[in-house]
Amino acid sequence: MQTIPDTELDETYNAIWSPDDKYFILIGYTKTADSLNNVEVYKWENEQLTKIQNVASGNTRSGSTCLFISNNEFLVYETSKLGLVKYTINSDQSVTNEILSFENQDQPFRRGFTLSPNKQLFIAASTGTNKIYIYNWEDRSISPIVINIDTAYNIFDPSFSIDGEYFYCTTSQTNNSVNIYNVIYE
Amino acid sequence: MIPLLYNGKIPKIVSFVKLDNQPDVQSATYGQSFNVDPKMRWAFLNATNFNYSKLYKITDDSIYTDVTSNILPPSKRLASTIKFSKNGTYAGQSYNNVNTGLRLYKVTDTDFEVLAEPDIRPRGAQSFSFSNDEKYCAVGLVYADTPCIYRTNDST
Repeated sequence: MQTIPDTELDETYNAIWSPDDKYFILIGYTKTADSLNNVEVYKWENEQLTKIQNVASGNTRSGSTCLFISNNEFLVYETSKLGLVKYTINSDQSVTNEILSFENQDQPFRRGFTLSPNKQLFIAASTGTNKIYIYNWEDRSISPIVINIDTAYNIFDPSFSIDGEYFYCTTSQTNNSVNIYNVIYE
Repeated sequence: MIPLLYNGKIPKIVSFVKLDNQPDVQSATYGQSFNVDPKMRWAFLNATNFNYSKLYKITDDSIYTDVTSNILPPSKRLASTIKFSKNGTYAGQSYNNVNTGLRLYKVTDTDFEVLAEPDIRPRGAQSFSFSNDEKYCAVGLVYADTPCIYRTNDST
C-alpha cells in the first residue's frame, strides 16, 4: 500500500487511472484553498506517482465524477465554470481545458455522466429531478432525449454495459431502485 | 452490432426500454453505486444510509438473482462505491464512516470470494477504482487522509 504524499486534497472523492494507465487523476476537496474542489493530474510509472499539475478548482463538492474519453483527455463537471470541462494532457505534459456546451443544459451533470462504448451517446444524470439526458456526443447542440425515471429524485452512477446494449443507473430519495434499460439501436 | 447514428443526429429510433425484471433492492436505501461485471456474470449494488451491499447473479443478460448471502457483505455500514476491474477478474468496494474500509473480491464464473480486506485508518473510504491492467486499486478517503493505492495481488 502507498499513499500519495504530494496531494493537497483533504478529502478525495474520486481516484482513477487513464485507459493506458499512464496518468492518474484525483478529485477532491481542499479545506484551505480559496476554492473548494481541486483536480490533480499525476503521471503513473513504475508504481510511482509524479504530480503534473493541479488543474481545476470549483466551488461545491458536487462535481466529483471524472471520465476519461481517451488516453489523454478527461471530463470533469465544474460548478465554478457552470459546465462540463474537457481537459487534455498534452505531449509536453501541459494541461489545457475547454468548456463544453450542451443544448438545453439544466445542470444535469453533477451526479454523474457517462459515454457509450461507441462514443456516440453521452448521458448525464440529474440532481434534484428525475431525468437523464441523452445527447449526441459529436453534436451537442442537438436537443437531448430526456427520460423520466419514475419518481426518482437523485440519479447516481450512470453506466453502460461493455457492449452498449444496456444502460444502468441507481436512484435515491423518494424511490430507491436500480434501473436497467435495454438500449435499442435500429 | 451497434449502427452509426444517422446524419450525426440522435435518431428517434434509439430507445431505452426498461427491463421487466429489475434487480430487487428490497430494504437497500439510497442506492449509490451499481456496477455490472464486464462479462455479464455478476452485478453489485452498494447502498448508503445504514444499509448494505447486494450481489446479483446474472443469467440470460437480464435476470438478476439476489445472491447476497454468498458474500456476507458488511452490514450496517455506509457502503460507498463498488467496481469491477476491466476484465472482471476482481471486484472491489469501499465503505466509510464507523466501519471504514474496503474489500477486494476474486471473481470467477461461479464464485465471488473475499480476497482481501485491508484495514484503513482513519475512517472515510469513499471511492474505489482499478488500474486498467488490473494490477492496482485505489481508494479515495474523506475525513482528512490521503488516498491509497494497493497491489491487487498483495492481500496486505
